[in-house]
Amino acid sequence: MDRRRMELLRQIQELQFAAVELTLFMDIHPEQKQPLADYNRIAEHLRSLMDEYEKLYGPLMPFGQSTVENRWSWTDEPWPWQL
Amino acid sequence: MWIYEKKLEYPAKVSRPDAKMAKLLLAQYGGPDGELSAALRYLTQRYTMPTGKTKALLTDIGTEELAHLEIIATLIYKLMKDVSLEEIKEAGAAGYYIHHDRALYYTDANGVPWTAAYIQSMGDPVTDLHEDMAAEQKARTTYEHLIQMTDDPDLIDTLRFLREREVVHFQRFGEALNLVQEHYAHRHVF
Repeated sequence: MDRRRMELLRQIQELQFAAVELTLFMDIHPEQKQPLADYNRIAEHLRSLMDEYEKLYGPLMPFGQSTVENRWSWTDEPWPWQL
Repeated sequence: MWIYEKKLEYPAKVSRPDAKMAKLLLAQYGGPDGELSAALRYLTQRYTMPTGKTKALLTDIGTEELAHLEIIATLIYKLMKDVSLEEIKEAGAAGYYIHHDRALYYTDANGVPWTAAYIQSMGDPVTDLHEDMAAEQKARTTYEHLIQMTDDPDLIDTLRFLREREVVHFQRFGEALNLVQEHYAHRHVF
């Protein structure tokens, strides 16, 4: 597993965790404006990092959620529990 | 990780409230060959599958089973939503009502709570895939029994979709079993 891949994955995890936290918070406090602005900024950044990751290492999601170039690389190892 | 998608995989409609069918559908909610058993079975067996393809297949079918669990839950919810206590008693669902009212709980059609004893994870992919194929056939049969018990065309439509998915899963598991057997034939691990 190359270093660039591990770095990108870590960045994606950090951003997505922030998005998870904001989701839970806004579920109970939907009226606040700042968390919503943060959420949208994070979501955009997250999407661009995931696009970059997928271009280099294959799809992060099945079921039509990611496009797949050339060949069906979804099945490629390592799976998350092999890292 | 998993992310929830706020939509069903397939429409889950019912024509009328029906406590009897709600009770019977629990077979596929918290029963031995139901959707919860299926999802948890494949999602725990996937770790010790030997190849990328078989890891992918168990992950993806396990995930689809969670979508089916949601469809079954939706059907039961809709069938129970407006039923009277009288209908609940007539359907033999009074015992369920005492413990759960109209809430969703993981039992089979007889009220037996879900248990991990319904599933296996043997660490031998040939063994596990045989279990998975058998589980899909048992689920298909259960759907056929359920379809025989109702004349509600909307309910039947959704049950037919779920029945068909069992057939497709069985087919894919069979192909996965062939791949695994070839994989080991070339490796001589025994």
